[in-house]
Amino acid sequence: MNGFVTTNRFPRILDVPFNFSQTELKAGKNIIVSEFELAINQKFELRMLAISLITILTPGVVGLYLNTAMEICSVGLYRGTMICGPIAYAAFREQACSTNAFARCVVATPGIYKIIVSNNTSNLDISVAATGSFKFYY
Amino acid sequence: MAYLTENVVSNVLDLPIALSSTDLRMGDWLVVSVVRIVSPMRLTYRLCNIAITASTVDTALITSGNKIYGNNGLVYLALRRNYISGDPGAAGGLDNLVAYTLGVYSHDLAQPVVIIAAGVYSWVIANNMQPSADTTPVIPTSTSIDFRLSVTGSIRLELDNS
Repeated sequence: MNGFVTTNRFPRILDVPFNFSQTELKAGKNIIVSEFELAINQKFELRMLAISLITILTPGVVGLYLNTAMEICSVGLYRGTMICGPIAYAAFREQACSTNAFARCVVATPGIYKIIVSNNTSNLDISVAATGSFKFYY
Repeated sequence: MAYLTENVVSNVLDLPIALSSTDLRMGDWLVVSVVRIVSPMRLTYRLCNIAITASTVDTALITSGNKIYGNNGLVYLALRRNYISGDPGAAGGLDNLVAYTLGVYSHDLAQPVVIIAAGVYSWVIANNMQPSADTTPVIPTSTSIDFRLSVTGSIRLELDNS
């Protein structure tokens, strides 16, 4: 990791961004923001994944969480078709929440990966935004 | 001018500011992108474009009486720190990219905004229109001045600014 990056190596390191601008998310629903396939001998590092809760569109209601660890809403990196057990996630706790950028999430296992934004309540409609990027090496 | 190592490159992330073509209603705003930075990160905001592709009125008819903020054009993209809610054009914004008519408006590449203060930074796109305050409005006050627009930009985040 401490070798110099040559001009041949540099084009093979890509920043792959994903962005979910402010969007209404109904109770219990989720939206796929990004999806990509990782092949053998490729890897990516996810270091920045941030979510912000902009508005609660059903005020005066106490939220019923579908999964308490995921708070009101979350954005996560998922493998395959299931939306349980994210590889990395940021769940909304304060004004905005992000993953720890200094704790790399490195993935080299081939497969299909998705970035999914979820509303984790059964009775609140919300408006959220999410932003992130991963480094793709091949 | 030091050489780059793999370690340095892996600590530099390019994050998006992206809004696909969206109808933004009169006086409304949308949070496009949110980034949280902590010490010792450094954020550099240099590149962004606003493209307005359609309007519900002839923009030549828009007067200063139609604008909420006279100096913010038709649409503006505000960078705000620790934004929670409220009018994004209010005082306290760190940067404003203004679109004055239909077309593409770009952030000046030679004038990047560099931020190292910890906080949550939001890019908020806002429609600066309101029902005309003129005594004889050119555009009827019942007409909603909406724009179809998109935003494309990039933020460079250095995780370790040392």
